[in-house]
Amino acid sequence: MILTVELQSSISLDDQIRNQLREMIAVGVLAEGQALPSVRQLASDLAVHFNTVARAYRRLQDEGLLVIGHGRGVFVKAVPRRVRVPAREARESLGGRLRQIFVDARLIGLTPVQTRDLVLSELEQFTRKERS
Amino acid sequence: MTSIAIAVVVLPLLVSVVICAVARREGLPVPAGPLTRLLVATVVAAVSSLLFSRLLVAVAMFAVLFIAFAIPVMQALERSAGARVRIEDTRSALLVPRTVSAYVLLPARVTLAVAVVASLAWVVVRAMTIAPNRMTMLLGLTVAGLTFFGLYEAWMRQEVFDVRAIDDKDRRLRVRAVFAAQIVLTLSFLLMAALSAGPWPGRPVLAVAATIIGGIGCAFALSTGIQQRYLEAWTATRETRSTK
Repeated sequence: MILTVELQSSISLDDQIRNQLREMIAVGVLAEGQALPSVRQLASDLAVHFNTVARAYRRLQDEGLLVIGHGRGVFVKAVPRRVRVPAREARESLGGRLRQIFVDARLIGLTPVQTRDLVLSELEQFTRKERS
Repeated sequence: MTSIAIAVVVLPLLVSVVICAVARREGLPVPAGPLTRLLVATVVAAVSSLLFSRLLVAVAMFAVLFIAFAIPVMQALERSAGARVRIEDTRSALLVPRTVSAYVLLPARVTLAVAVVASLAWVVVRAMTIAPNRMTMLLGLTVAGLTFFGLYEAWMRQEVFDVRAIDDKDRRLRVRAVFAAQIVLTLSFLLMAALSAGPWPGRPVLAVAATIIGGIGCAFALSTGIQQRYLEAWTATRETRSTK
């Protein structure tokens, strides 16, 4: 399990850390109860500011994906997968974000068919990761 | 007096030579010139210490040699600071928490702590049986043993967080090597303190042993900074790039 960040990326460092951890938790690479490195260790390994990692961890904690126990460490929290039907607000919020992605796709010149193919390809990759 | 002269003169030389050897092994540029010139100073100091068989002369020689050796070593290390910084745009980290206990078994560390406490108790008992004017050596060796315990504990923690290698096997070996050195240095100094309370001049073998073991231990602890590699700080990278 390796986390990688790109300094040259247009995505902020804390978003890169957060996105990768979210994906690993979503596909089950990081299991429930698994311990993660401390803020100090991760910041030192990536040579980024302590606050960058702390911010990413705090946001994941707010999303209910991590538990940060002061002095005990950072742990992955249980994620309800495939069991519950997501709340209506959560579905609506996801729909809104998808619409924004379609707008972005149109603005960079992708046709609806190309956008659909891209979405399907990404979804395919995601489910393959999850299965493995 | 001979044993004091040996300790005084050999210690700065030994520490500097080991630090420079570690730096060269790490591929850092350390010029040989200043050290060669300082070898002559060491010989002069050794002769002076023996000729003027006085403690004050020996202490003065130690101070002069210490400063004389420390300056070129520090300058060389400052010049090589850039070579220790890694510039990488893509950075990776293992998502596994690291603690010293993950590399050195907890019972081994507890055993060392118990041995240190037992040795200290032995030293205290010994201190109560000898005259106050013969305590210098006992106290010196005890302080040295405890200092090594603290220094190597800090070094072990530093190795655990070091970013030199992502390979955990390599890290395990390095942490265990530091722990082994911590055991040898701490216990040997505390045992020397407990076994041989008395004046330095009467113990030339002990003085030489303590100087060599202590000098090497001290030099390795001081060279931890040279062995570390640092990733360029993210903020510095951004600032440099934005000004280009």
